[in-house]
Amino acid sequence: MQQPASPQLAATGLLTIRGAAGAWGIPSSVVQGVESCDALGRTRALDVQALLGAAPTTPGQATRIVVLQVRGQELRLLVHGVLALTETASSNLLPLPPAVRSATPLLSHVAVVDGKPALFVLSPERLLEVAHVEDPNA
Amino acid sequence: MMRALVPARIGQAWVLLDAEIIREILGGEPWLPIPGARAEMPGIVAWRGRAIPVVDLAAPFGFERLSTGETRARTLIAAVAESVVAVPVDAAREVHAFSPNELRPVSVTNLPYAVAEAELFERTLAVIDLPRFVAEILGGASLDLGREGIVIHAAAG
Repeated sequence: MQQPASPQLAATGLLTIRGAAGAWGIPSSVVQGVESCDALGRTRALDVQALLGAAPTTPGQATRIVVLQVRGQELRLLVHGVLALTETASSNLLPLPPAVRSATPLLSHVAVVDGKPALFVLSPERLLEVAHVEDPNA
Repeated sequence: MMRALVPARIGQAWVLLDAEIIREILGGEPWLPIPGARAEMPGIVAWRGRAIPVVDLAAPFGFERLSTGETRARTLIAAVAESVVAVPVDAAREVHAFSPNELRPVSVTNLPYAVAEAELFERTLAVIDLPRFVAEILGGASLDLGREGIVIHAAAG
C-alpha cells in the first residue's frame, strides 16, 4: 500500500531580535555572523531601530552587530535585544500589502505564529539600498 | 432601492457602514504594530493567509486610538480601495436595510467621512464613507469590488 505523501512545507530560517522597541527578523541565509559591539563598530553599523522610526539604540549589554552578506556586499546592523535563530514555514511569511510596504519600505513580510502576526521581517535588499544612501562608498 | 448597512460602534459613537464592502465580521483580532505608523493605519492582522492593514476609524473621529496590545471586541474585514483592510470596532450588529427616504443628509452627527444619516436604535447614526477614508490612507483610488456575502464568525455584540 502506498504511503500518503506528507506535505513538505519549505522552511525559512530567521534571525529574530526581540527588544523593547518590538520584534523583528531577518532571513538567516544572509547572516554571516554576530559580533559584540564596540564604539568603532557602532559608527559603521546601521541602527535598525532608528531606521524603523523607533528611538535610536542605546548601547548596552544586549547590543550586538549583526553582519550580513547581501548581493556580495557586507552590511552591518546595530541591534539591541534577545537574538534567536528560528525556522518557520514559508507559508507563515506573509508579504506586506503595498500600502504598508510604501510606508515602511525596510519591511517585506510579517511572520505569523499560531495564526497571529508575530514579527516583521526586514528586507536585506532594502537595507543594502539604505546603506548605499547613508554611505555612498559602501 | 434598499441600502444595506452594518451598525458598528467605535467608542461611544454608533455608525453605519455599507454592508456590500464588509467581507467578514470577526472577534477581536491580534494585530502587530507597524513601527512609526500613522494612527489611521497602526498595524497588520493576518487574514486568510495574507497580511492586511488595520485602519482605525477612531483616529479621524478624534476618539481614543488603538494602542499597542489593545484589541477591540469585533473586527470588520472590508474590501475597499483595491485592498482588504481590518477595521476594529467595539461592537457590530446585524445588517439593516434602509430605503432611500430613510437616509437623510448629514445634519445632526458631526463625524468626518459622514455622507448621510439614518435613525436606528432610537438615535441618529452617521453613514460613514469607509472607502474614501481607506483610499485617503492608502493613497489609492476607491474601487467597487462587488458584492459577496458577509460571513459572521463572532456573535454580534
